[in-house]
Amino acid sequence: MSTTADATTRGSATLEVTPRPEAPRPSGLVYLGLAGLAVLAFILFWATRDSGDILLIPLGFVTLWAPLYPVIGLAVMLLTLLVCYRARIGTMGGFGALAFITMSYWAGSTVNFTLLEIPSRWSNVEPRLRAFLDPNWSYIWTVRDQWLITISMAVVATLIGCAIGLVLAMLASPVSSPNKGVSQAIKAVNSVVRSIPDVGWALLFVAFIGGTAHGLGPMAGVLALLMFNIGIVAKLLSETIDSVNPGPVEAADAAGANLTQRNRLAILPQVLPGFVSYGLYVFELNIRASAALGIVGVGGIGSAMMLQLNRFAFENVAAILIALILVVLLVDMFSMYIRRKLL
Amino acid sequence: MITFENIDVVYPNGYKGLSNVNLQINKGEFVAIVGLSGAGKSTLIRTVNGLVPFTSGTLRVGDEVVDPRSKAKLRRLRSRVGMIFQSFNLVTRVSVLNNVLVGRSAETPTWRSLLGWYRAEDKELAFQSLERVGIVDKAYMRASSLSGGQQQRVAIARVLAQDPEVILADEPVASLDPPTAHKVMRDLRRIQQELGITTIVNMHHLDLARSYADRIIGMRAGEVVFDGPVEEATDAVIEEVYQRSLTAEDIVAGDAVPGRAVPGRAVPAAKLQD
Amino acid sequence: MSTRKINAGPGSTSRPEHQRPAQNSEAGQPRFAPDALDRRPVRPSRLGYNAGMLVVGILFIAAIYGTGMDVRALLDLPASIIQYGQLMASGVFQIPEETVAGYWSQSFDAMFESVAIAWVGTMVGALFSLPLGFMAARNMSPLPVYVMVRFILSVIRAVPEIIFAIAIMLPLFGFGSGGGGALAGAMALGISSIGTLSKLISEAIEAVDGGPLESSRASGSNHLQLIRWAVLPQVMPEVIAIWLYRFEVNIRASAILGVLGAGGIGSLLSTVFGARDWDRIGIVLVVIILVTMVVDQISAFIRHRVIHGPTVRNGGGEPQEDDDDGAPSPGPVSGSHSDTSVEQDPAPKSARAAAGL
Repeated sequence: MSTTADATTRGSATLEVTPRPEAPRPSGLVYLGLAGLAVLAFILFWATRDSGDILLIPLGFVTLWAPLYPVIGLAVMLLTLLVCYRARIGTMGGFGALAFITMSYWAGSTVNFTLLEIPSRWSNVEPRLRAFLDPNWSYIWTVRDQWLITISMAVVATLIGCAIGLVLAMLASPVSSPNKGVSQAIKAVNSVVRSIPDVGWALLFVAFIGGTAHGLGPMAGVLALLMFNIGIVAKLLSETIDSVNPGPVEAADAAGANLTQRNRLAILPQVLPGFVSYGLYVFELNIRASAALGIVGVGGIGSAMMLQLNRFAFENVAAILIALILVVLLVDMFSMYIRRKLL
Repeated sequence: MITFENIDVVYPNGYKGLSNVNLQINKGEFVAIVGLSGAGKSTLIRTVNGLVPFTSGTLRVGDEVVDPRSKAKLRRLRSRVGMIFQSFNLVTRVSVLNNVLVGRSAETPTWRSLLGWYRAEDKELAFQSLERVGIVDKAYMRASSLSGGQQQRVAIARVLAQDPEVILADEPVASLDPPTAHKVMRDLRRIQQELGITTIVNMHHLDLARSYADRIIGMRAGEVVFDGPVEEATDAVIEEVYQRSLTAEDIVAGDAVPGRAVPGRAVPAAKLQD
Repeated sequence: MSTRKINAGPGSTSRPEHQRPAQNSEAGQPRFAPDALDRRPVRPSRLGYNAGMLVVGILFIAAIYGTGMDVRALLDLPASIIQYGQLMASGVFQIPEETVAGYWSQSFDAMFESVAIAWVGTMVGALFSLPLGFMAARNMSPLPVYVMVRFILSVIRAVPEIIFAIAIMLPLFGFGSGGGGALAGAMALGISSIGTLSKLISEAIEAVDGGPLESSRASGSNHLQLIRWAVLPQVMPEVIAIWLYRFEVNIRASAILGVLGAGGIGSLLSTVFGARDWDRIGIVLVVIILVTMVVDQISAFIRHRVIHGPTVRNGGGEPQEDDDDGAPSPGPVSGSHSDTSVEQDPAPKSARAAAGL
């Protein structure tokens, strides 16, 4: 915001010393184009609507009708554009606001967003919530083996995943990779690995080598978590390496170190704190994920929970879930302790 | 002996770093390069060990012709040429000893570097280097816990651990206070005399250059505009190099030299030996 | 190489000729007589470090036994990857006649539904996270509120989203793509996003530059004016970046909820894997990768644009030094260096949000 106007006092406003700068006005033409986009979006909403609600506009001689929700959407879009224009927000800002509303409308209609049905369906939730308040604690002890498997999977996947992630991060960051091609290739592969969700990996490996039914669930689970971890660690760590202090790297180069030595001696010590905390963080994620992945048959506590859920034994499910919250809290505290201790 | 023959450096963005530099630096010489910032001092120093590849000309270090395209040859060259930086460039999170051992990289197998299991003789050499700069008692401390002057001495020890023929120093004292700057320069001078290492130092403090160097090279806009013994580098000559009159910023003052502009060596060699 | 003599300079004549220790039997002998100052320090004990490494090693081996995983299964893995990989590839590259085109459009629909679930979830989370973020920022709220909100947030963060989904949202909104499952998934993601989003936002607010705060207090603005004119302009770019990161995370997280019956790509994944229909599995995976990467690219572009402004490409004009604050974050990554790391990209910190910290 320009405050140069303050320079001229109120009394001397008539003197016209310097012309006051105008706040830059966004181009009206572009905003007209944005309004056109809004209308296009409206037509799209209309064409893809699933609700039959109709807005009737009686004009005396003829009654116009329009689908209710798209009209509301159009009104909101045009209003926003007007507000943006009046507030002299640049065209990129106006476009962003429009895109945001369009996206939200589309997402809301795709998931059939409504909160009106909550009161009528509340009765479904009540028994489960009651079960949560009165979990079957004795059940916890019977699934201790499953807990052990879950935590072990998390440990193994974390350690191996961090080791592989470290190597990949070194290859992926242009600071530490042998050449640009390698760095680009690893980054591309990594973004493919990262784009498949953890449950996708779990399903893949269960299909590849067999699930709990064949006693191979944990192997599949560890491999799935491994892919999940490699993606995260490689991405976060390579970004950390990008911002490393280049001085020691140059010094190692000047001392005649080769690439591996340089990365080990000048880069690794600098990113080590980050590496450790990414490892701890990934471990937390793994505990949650390995519990969740049990649902698709990789063994561990998730499998036990799914079994109880299918039997509608909510007291047992509740016991597992509450224990899961406690375990996650414990792991969180543990990693906080380690972080404080090490860094 | 280092010889530059018609060396040109053009950066990828088209900026001309050096143009047609011809120089001969003799074995065991202590050379100071002076010039305003952007004059090409850093570029000149970095061409010697290939950190900045030159684009045309011939450069010899000792008997070897420098080839900036061959990575293996460059590594071999760099193992013989040590370099000291303005910002020390230590890995601050590891111990002083490990920082010094970085200087042994070229002679250490990669697997040893990876595991951090250095040979006893490499460690011995690192200790001796630390002893030479007088901070061996800090060997197991983290580099970050040292003062600036101590860090720069660790950097010198790292270079000594390389057992170099040539030491390049890029503004080694620019981020130190005057007394510390003098101490570090005295160390460098002493080491150069004791071990007979060719030393090339960039500086913008004229009095330091005159106090410690044998020979001064003046640079402007990527060209060598003055080259001669310290005695010839009078104020008038340097003003010609800088294209402006000398100011208080061109000197560091401090303990070794009472004032500036004493042509010739202000500190007798005996004093340098400590 | 090692035979070269390099130290025969003028100054070294008075001293014992230095030789490379590799060839010297008395390698331990220093080059000059040590005095008291030069005494070498004793190597400090590395007991703690070694013990720590040992514990990690033992833990690792114990955990391998603990999982009870059959390592022999790995031997068959390459073969089955090749076998099934070929099946999937043939599914992806077959000519898209009518049924196959149907598979593709079904996959895209499911993936778009996942994106919609993630968007609504992020919106719900964002809606709550801004006020909660202010309440959880030490410099913006009174101590009792701060402690309370922080506690609630850490409880929310400890609850995995599947718990919200199973316990509340799925029974509340119904199962399946058509029957409200998508909304249930979105709400579960939204509630569980609140914890992380609010925490990251509160850290961003705590890192705000105090100068503008002080000057608006000095000019007599009330609390809301202060937030609107001194705090929001500073934190908004980072807040938007945090929201967008969470959106990316939520897309991935929606998959596991889908397996539980919340619609989207997860439901489709569990269907096609249940049927072992490798053609369709290949198609679904390709669609996932394509859509996720495109969304990530767009989101990264917007984040960059929002944080660094329209013109500045790199390095950023925004003075957002946001290292060394926020206790549980990875802490001093490289912040201890004297000069060179002054301009740090804010990305690494927000990147931790990417994975849902």
